[in-house]
Amino acid sequence: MVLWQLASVAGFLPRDAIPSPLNVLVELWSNREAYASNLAATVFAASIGYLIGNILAVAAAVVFVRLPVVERLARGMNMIAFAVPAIAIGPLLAIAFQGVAPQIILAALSVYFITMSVTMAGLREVDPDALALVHLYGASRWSAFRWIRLRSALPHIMSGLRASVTSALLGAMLAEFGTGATGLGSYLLASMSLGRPERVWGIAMVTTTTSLLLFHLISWIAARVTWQPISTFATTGFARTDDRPASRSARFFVAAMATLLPFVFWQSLPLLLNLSPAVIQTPSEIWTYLTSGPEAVTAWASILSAAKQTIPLAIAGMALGGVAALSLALARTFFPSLGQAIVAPVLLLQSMPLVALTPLIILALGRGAAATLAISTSVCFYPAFLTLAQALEGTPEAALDVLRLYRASPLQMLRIVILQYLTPYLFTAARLVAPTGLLGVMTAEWLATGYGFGGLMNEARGNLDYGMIWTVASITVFISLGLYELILAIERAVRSLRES
Amino acid sequence: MAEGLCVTEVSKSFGPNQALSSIELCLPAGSFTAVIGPSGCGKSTLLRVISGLLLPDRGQVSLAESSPKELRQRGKIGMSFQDSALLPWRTVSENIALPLQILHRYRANERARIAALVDLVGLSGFQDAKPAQLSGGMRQRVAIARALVTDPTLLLLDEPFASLDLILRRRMNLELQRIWLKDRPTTVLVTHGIDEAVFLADQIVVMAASPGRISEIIEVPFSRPRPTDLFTTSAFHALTDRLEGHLIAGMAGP
Repeated sequence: MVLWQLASVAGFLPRDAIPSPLNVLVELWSNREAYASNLAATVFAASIGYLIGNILAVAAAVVFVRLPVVERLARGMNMIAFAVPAIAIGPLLAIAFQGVAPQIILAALSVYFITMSVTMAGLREVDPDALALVHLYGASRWSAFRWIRLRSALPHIMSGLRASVTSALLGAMLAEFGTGATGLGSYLLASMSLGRPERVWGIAMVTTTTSLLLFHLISWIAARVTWQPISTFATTGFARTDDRPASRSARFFVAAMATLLPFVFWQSLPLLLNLSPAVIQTPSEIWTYLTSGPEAVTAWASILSAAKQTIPLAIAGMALGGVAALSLALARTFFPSLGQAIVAPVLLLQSMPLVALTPLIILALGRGAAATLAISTSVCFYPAFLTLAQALEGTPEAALDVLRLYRASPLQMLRIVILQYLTPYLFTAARLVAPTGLLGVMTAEWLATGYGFGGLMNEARGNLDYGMIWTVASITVFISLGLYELILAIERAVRSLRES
Repeated sequence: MAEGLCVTEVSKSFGPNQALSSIELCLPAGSFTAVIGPSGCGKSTLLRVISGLLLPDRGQVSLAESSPKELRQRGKIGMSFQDSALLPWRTVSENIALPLQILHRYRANERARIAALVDLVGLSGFQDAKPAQLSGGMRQRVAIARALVTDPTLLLLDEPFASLDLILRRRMNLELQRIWLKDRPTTVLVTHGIDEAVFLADQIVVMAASPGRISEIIEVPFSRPRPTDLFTTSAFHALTDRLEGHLIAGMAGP
């Protein structure tokens, strides 16, 4: 902090991008009521969403583990919960719901997937002998669940609760982009155009501090309750189920149902929500909008040009973030002291929610592709880094010792052993950050550049162009899922190549 | 009151692998039977079939007075596993109490009995320790205490001392004999250790693999209680050598 102040006073830092901390603090203090009321509004909505989302996630996980068929059927919905860029859903929620509901719903949606998948992993990873023991005394499935599985999954649930705190905050703020309701998100939007970097930094600091405080609060509670820490990232994703239905046709049927379910849900939304039909666009209406409706040609043209802007940046962000994550993870393995030095700033990076980081990067790099790329890279970096760092730690020491015995160079160790163990995790990391990369790009576009899908969504929202709003939302979900499936396909191809 | 048990024509396959093939075995009430054999001969599978955790493809397990299902409901089967399978979040006392809680039989007056069991297995002072704080041998002792908490008529032990070093194993063998002599439940001990089997058992079942079957049942003539120096006597060695010969011959194939 002191260095920051000195650098600022000495004129080293560009005045309009990075203000001096003193100025930021002055700004914070003089506007403290505004900050307080906005913070309260956001935290309120985020907390309710956090509670609802996590309760739902644990309940869903319990059902999915108990009834694997239900899990397979729900897979389509779950994948969407995983892949949806939160910012794309904001305007939809704003249309459909009033008041604080959009923020709560988006916060709940943001926490759902990670807690659910971590809880499922925890419920499944039980000592089979402990289960056998319980059955030995004639325990019913419910007893076994109660005594063993649930308690055994507790550390997983706790780690899910910890990891999802930031997501809840982020979800609420992104929803505010769409609704304009009181809160830090709206406050941020308003400040971006004021040309007052102090306020932008102030909001970023407030957001980050809140996020850190809540994270530590949950960590403290978790530490009192459980007996061992669990990492969230290695377990995020879709676990393999043990029991499979007998026939291929049954599997195909269930998979088909799983894919159709979201569409059915979507198509029936007008009935479920009892709103004006013009406001909710069903899949059939979107199809018409894009193909034969009055503005079909222009709409389609906008979508295509937005895609050309957003998708390459998203992929580039993922790639850069991945490379950075890999480099840092490897550096940490081979140069442990360097690793220690890096950890502190990395931790800070992680605790800054996307919405806090984005404006800062925009201030620094301007409103262009550079900023967008930087944002996308930085949000992809941390989850990828955690996954890869864990993978490297999991590489068996014995294998490396054999290489050390023959004084292999780090490059040789990398090529001969580490890469083998690392490769599946590379793909896991890539799949994990696919939706995040897209979200990062769209957020930057919304806040700054006005290009791509983020810009298109913002514009459509302003024009109340419902057709476009729903179209952009659904297309971005498809793109996100498409990226995920693409990575999965590449992974399978690589694996079969290696096995042949 | 111990129960006699008979295994009749039991067969069990896992896919192409025939783990058990027409097993015939009778265990008199209050007897101690050891099951030895090479890896993959179906020892653990047999134990699980006896416990009722695994249903055989053919054949049955019948008890002198009740059925395995009844025994389970009354909690009269006690079992210990190779890796002790303690719940890591429970203390020693709480782990031992688990069967009682499942059977809804945990009452305040059980606490004295659990404390007595803790003393019986030689873990006095460790009632409130968590498994992570205990050594392998101590964890196995907790597992055995847990298996005994319901006063079982049938006690099944699956390689309880496999991961212990020789000295600790010897000590645990003596402890097990001491504990067993108290109530003498019908016991089946699956083990890799021939010496352990001879020291503890009334009869030794030698199994062979592919398919899993009984190749020999050998009576152990030594009277109880068996002293520590039994391990050094020539009669003991004669028996262990004989058993070793059986096992190696079994490995050599037909």
